[in-house]
Amino acid sequence: MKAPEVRTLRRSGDPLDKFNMVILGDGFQRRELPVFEKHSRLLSIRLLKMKPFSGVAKRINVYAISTASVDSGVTMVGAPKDTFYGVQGSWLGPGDYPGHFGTPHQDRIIDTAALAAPEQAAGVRIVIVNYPAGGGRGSHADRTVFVPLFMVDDTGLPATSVEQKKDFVEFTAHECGHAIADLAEEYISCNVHTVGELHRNQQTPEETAVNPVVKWRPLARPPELDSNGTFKVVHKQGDRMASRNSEPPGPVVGRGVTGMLGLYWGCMDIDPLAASASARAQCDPWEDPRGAPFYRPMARCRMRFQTQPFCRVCADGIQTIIQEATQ
Amino acid sequence: MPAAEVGLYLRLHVEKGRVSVTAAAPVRRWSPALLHAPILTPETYARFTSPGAETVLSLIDERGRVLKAFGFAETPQVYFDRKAPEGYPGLVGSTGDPSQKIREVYLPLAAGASFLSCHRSELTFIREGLFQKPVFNQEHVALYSMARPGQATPPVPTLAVPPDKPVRAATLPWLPRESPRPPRRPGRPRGKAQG
Repeated sequence: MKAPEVRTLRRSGDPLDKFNMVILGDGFQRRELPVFEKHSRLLSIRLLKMKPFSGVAKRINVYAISTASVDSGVTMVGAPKDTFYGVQGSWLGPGDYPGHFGTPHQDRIIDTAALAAPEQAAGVRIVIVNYPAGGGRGSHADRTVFVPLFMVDDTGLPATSVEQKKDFVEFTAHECGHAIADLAEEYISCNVHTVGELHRNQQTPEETAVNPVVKWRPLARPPELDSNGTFKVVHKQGDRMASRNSEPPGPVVGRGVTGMLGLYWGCMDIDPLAASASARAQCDPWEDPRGAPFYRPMARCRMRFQTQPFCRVCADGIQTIIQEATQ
Repeated sequence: MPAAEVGLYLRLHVEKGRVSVTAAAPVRRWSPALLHAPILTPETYARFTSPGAETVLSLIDERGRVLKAFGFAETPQVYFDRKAPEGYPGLVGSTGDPSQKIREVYLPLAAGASFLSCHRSELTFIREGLFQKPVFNQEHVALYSMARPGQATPPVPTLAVPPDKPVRAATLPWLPRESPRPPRRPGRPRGKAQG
């Protein structure tokens, strides 16, 4: 088996003083490694041109580590594969939408990434998975993103090269929001809320119980607050929603306050009491009434719809963490 | 001159209410942006209407005083996203991955900290007639000495959340210290490791 090979795609300084993006790949046979290398370069260029990463690009190192797997592709249900990191998933099975990726051998990822930057150095690991479907996985718990190749669309038809690259980079950025800043989804994923889950882009009832000041108020501009210091825009469940272009339903607020920071209902979680009362209800990602008690900061954000830019709160979260951990 | 080491990196293995540290290292730069004090405490739990469990990491001195404490949701969140099925714009997703056992955290390296203590706080609700009654529990999970190799560990003090039976402080598995490396030119292979 080919030994891991580390390439520096962008060097801004000592890894212990910088934020390190370490890109790894799984399920690529030796002959397929050029595909991994092409996608690594794509991320190193396009991700760092995207806000908020572009604003802190001088604080970021990017490395790619090539590892060859015995088999091509990764383990899916009923089809085991012998791969370097043992990535496995279930992506197209009935009842499993939207599917998932993971590995029981997370230590292998951490140890291999440490060939580029010490384990304790700040950073994120991005594992490119040799699988044709689209989607992604991100977690701050292990600072790791998994992202496949987006070579086919949801119906199994080949995606165009432009679509493929766009989706690949935009999904990776969304997953980095989870992995770097522990950002919540801003669509309703019907995660049953438990006390103790805190995210800088989701205001929960227990946070309001402890401190009525909304946590993102320090990022407000004067026109966004009323004379009491509270947000002018509060979009509650039942208020008007509408779709525009090909985007999901979004809140409709007054003409003079569109685009303002505020409180917009419907973030990641749902109320546990409502969830238990309607456990079998299908999840509506944008208007599920069980998400009424949870608020997000702005109407549009990459954490709600991957083609939109990060909202002010999410961009600030990513940028702050990178700035604080680097020089 | 290198900056002082002010933070502590920990790789934790979390499973079924058990926590073990599998790697530790001092760091000179880190972000405290995601740290917060414990949410579930004897003083706060009565305000909450949702259940939950929190892992609490506390830095304590040799007399058992808590210098700093931080809370983490017991089940780390893992997010899966995908384009919505054809005809629907946007994303759909789910959270949770039972195979996810690793958790990496950064804590401040508090002066005078002799031990790293870990306890679990849990809030559940039991039905009493028409009402839901909150039940709050805390249990000791693990204790580590902050002593570096070659340093002595002081005797275990009385802990804020006491264990059921006497415990010894385990040694933190410190990562080897990094030696300074020369800068490398972008684009050149950095060498090979054993595969």
